[in-house]
Amino acid sequence: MSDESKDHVPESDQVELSDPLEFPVGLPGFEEHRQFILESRAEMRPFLWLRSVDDPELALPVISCLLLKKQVQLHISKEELSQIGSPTEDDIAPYYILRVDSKEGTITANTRAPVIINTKSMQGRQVILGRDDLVVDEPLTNLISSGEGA
Amino acid sequence: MLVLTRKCGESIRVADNIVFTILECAGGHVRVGITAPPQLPIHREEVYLRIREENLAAARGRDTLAALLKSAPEELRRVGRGTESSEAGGPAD
Repeated sequence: MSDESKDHVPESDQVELSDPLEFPVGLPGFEEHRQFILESRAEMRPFLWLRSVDDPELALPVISCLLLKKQVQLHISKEELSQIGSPTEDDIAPYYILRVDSKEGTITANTRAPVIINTKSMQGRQVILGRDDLVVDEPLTNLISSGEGA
Repeated sequence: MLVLTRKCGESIRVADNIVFTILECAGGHVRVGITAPPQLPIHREEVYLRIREENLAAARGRDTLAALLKSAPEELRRVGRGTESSEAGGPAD
């Protein structure tokens, strides 16, 4: 008679954590934090948290660049990649850090400085792309729509 | 900080393969030419500072993002659905 529906886990309880990611040079602004995890919550998708292992209160919202229609060629120097184990193209997972403006109700993506994860060595770093046309506060809606601007 | 005085046209060499050359000084501006291996990232300091500032601001958006998401336009929430199939043209295998 016990009609327990144990597979009915509330969506908000579904949390997936990545293995620890090593950031050998930290993140600008958070240089002392060298270990992060990617936290995925069902109710947050497609957004993830890049959370500091040392300080769980420190978490930056990110989104995988690969989910966005408008994609940017990532020209990253060998020197910068060598700091995260020189990943091949297939081992690179790029993310944009997002900023949420509660007053304006907008989400912007830092397209100038994506976070690059080496999925093989589980190392990461933020890379400043050498392109002045990329901005640190691109409205996310611009990246979602497929409009390439002619 | 090491401080060196240079005249226009003079250079400073760092290690074996980095050279800063003072190209022009006029009206409070200094034009500096930099010769360095292409793999070395070189940025204006304010670009770095802006990114630092942006990171600090992003970390403050924690509580609002979840709230904002609930009222986010459908187009935002749709991102990531369906892309796993074919749309993103992701890596095969």
